[in-house]
Amino acid sequence: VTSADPPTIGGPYCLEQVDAGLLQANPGPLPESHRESLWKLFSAIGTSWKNLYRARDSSGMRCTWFEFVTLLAEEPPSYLAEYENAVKVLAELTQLYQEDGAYEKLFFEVGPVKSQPKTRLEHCKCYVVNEFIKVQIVSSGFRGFGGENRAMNYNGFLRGTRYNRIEGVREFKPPARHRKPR
Amino acid sequence: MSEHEYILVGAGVAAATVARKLLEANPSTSILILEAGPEVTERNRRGWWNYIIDGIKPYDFARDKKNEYETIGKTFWDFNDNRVMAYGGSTLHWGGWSLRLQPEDFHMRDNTGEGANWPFDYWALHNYYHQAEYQLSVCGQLSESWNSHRRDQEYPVPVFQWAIPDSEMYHAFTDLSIEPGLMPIARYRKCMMTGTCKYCPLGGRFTAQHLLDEIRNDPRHKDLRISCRATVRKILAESKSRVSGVEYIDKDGQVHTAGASKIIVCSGAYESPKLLMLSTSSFWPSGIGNQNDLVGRFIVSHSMLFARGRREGNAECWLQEYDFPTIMSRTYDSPAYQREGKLFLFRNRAIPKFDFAEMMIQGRRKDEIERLLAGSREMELQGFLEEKGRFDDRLTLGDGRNQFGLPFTRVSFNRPPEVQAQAHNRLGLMQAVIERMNYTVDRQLTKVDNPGGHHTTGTCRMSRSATDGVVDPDLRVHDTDNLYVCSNAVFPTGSAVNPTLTLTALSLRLADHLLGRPYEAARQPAPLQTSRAKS
Repeated sequence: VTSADPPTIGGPYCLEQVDAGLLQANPGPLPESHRESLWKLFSAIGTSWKNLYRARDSSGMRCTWFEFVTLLAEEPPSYLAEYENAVKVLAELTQLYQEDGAYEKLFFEVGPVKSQPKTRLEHCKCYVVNEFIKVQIVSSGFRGFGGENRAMNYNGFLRGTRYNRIEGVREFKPPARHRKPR
Repeated sequence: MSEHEYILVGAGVAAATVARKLLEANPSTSILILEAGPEVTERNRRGWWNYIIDGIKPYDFARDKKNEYETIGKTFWDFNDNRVMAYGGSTLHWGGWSLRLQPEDFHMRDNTGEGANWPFDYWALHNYYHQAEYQLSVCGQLSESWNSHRRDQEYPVPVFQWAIPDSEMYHAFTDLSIEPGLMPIARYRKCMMTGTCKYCPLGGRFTAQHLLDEIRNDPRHKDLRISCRATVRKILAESKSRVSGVEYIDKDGQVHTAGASKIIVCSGAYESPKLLMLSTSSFWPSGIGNQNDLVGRFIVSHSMLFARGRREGNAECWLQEYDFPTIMSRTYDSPAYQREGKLFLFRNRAIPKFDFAEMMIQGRRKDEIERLLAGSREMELQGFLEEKGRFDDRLTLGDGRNQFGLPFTRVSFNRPPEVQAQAHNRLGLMQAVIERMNYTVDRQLTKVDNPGGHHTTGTCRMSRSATDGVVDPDLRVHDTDNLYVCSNAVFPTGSAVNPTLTLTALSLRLADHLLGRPYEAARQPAPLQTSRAKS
């Protein structure tokens, strides 16, 4: 080990080597215990980045998130084994670093891991955390960035009934002298 | 052999439009639609989530692959992402931009001495354009000067207004006497979201699947059959003037024949000429309609022009708002610019871009992300440049067949130096807009690109005589009685705008012909005194 090497994160389960591809599983329902553990992970994204707009927590996104994990568990290729792996990774990280420390490690220290995950920890980051971040953003999580100049819309944001009272995009109205009569 | 009244080859917007209108007139019309590609389900939520996660659209596999096409001319012909071979055709990936050609586009040869005239004028399509706008649910407005000739026909759906990132370009346009306009877009339902328009989970964007599903699910249409993964390999001729049916192969490799009284090739600007070339017989030794070696010739598309600029600071946090452009201009898409190539301008919809999720995945914290967001922004003006069809530019059959059994494509295209010079001249106009916005021009990304195959036209062009084109003004292959081509391939000129609305209008007009109805031609109104009319 040299001083340039990043510190090791996690215990024996997190560091176990596995193939890079999606962990194989038959499609099926997500067990309730897994669902709650994964929901806490998803909610922690909103808390860690403070990317929610006028909301105390991510509960307004629960329907969208639930649709996402249900479809990914129940339709092929199924993420059931990845979700089970993530739950075990979280359990080990929580045991080692407490809950807040576990999320801090996962979100800010593991690295991007956008392809070719080599360990169970990297699988959790690549297939679960990274994808949950994208779900957070398209579920309105982008609106907490940028203060009062925040964006109204963003790739994939489904406004739905919850956001009916806000404008869909920021419109530009040209000066009156430029406007033409219809 | 006539088991069907009609066989339609291809299941894109042309086939869907013709079939629907024939069935509206007589629900028991016997129609067989044969589509080489698969059926890709729309509004599939898992498919949409996959697109959000990895950027891969559910129909991406039904595009041309790199080894399936070849460009042999001096100018590279860009096939990348230019069509979708599937139920619904290329409307699965189109942006919905729905613009009419201008009256002068129909008289290109007369006006410029190059290219070709259409065998009829704009007013022959005027009413069909109106019907097409209703069919596609086009959102638009009439107040722009380039709409001065069509004030009798309101758009069916209110226009999308300019978005805030349009504002700097709007002011630069007006300072430079370029008239800003609002893009007419085909949208079935109000946008509840944006940014993933290329695969809408709500079905908000028009695709031909809407029409095909509608006619397929109508219980009155007992004699309509739509077969996917059914690749037509040959049109069968029983004499020089009459075709009797088609030979096609299914996904299991089984060869079938089907007969019809009339055959309509709706296979786009690549497959339509290839199918005619493949349909050799003793009556047509070089392929149906190819006695004068014109099938596949005059291939033309738009060249894309890009002018990109960058400025420091983005305190307003401007981002992409819609996934389609809202500001555009047809100032250079007008008679004064026809000789040197018309230009249709629009803002790149996808920038300013800032990928919040990517920043978070990289482990950046909120304050760092906000600093990067406010640091700088880019803007890009894009243009479609009209080019004129030239005899030597042609599409031919490549060696091999793709995953759906369609022959590979070979294109020879040579842009003359004077056209290249005109393109760079046009690029200068666009660069001036970026500079007027006080952006620094990015020299690497400001360029004249290769012709993109996504708006290909001309390969079975329409003409009054067989010595000048492949189909007649009724879209019937010259010297045949019952074989038609309904595709962008029949356009004698491509103009500077997207072809789908014009193709839909032509399809509606063809259906009237097939039904024995008189064409709904319009009368040209007296000219208005507008800046466009004066030019």
